[in-house]
Amino acid sequence: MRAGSLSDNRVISLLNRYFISAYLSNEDYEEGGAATPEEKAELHRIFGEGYAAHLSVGTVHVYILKPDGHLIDSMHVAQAWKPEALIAMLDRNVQGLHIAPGEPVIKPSPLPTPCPAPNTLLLHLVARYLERKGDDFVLTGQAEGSGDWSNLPAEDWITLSRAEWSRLLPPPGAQAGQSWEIDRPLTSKLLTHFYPPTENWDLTTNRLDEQSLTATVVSVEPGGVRTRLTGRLKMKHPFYHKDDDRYVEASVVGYIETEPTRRRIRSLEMVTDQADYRGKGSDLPFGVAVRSLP
Amino acid sequence: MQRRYLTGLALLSGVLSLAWSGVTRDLAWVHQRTQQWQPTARERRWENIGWAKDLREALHLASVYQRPVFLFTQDGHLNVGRC
Repeated sequence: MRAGSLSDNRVISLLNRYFISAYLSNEDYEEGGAATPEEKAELHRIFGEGYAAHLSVGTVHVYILKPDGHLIDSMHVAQAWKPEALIAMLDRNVQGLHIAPGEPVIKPSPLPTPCPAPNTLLLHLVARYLERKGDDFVLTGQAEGSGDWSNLPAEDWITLSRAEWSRLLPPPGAQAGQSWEIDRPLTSKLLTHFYPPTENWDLTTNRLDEQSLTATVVSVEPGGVRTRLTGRLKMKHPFYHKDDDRYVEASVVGYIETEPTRRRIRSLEMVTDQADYRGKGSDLPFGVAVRSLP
Repeated sequence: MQRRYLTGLALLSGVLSLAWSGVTRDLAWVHQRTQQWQPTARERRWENIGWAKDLREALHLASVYQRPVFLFTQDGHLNVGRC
């Protein structure tokens, strides 16, 4: 949906001018999920109205509710991701309900950045598939209307406590060339996010079979110390929420700029130098970029 | 905190391991890669839709403004592409 209909300007215009839009994650509405009991009850009601009216009902769907909150229409995502199908659905309900166009009720806004706790280091990670072009790798699916969800980047936020990010700092008095290995718990915390977009985002299904991250002081200047990170990983990562033989194999490289006097990290950037998602006879190149946010 | 200092050997091996590719993986290269792989404006286009914070807010606003609700239910996390 996000790569298809929800990126279509005609759909965006229709939703903003005529509708109140909402999306939800099914996990939040399962037993023990984060949604409130009242939210869960509303979704349960909508499903019930769908069954009663013999409408299509399911977990990956779009639903149209009348202004009074009652269900009037629905469509499976297998159809709704296509802009033409969704536009037809939106149009017929706008006309059927005699809705007048207007300004967006909710102002569109970019994805909010998490607010980190004091003394923590917030890292933003992007993972995406790549394709070889000549001697380099480029982003996949950049043509308008490609519509394939796997071309979208996946994003994660990683928060390191002071105790964790301090272990990335060079030791006091460090000299260029001095190296140390980053300890396994911290390496695991970072590298377990190094997998491409799949239909499985459960980190507990990842298994790091090989991992290393080495820090080496590159330069020591009065204004700061530059440290280079190099590492590699081999990690089992099932594509779906069931076991398979797929795994990630990657090498990484990055740099940390530190303020030696204040013992803090000024910036951290780390990317995959080479990364492949292997198994089932396929070998898919992908890239991961991690950067610190102020 | 366990730190094992390996002196200049690691630095040397790192340089040698990267030399084969012909491209130096220096700070500028890492920074360029980081920028290139960020979500593009087209990939963020769905953020041009005004989204209610949850279903109940959408229902409330629908009633107040007499507009229908468009509800999208999905597995995973739409906002971060892990789905």
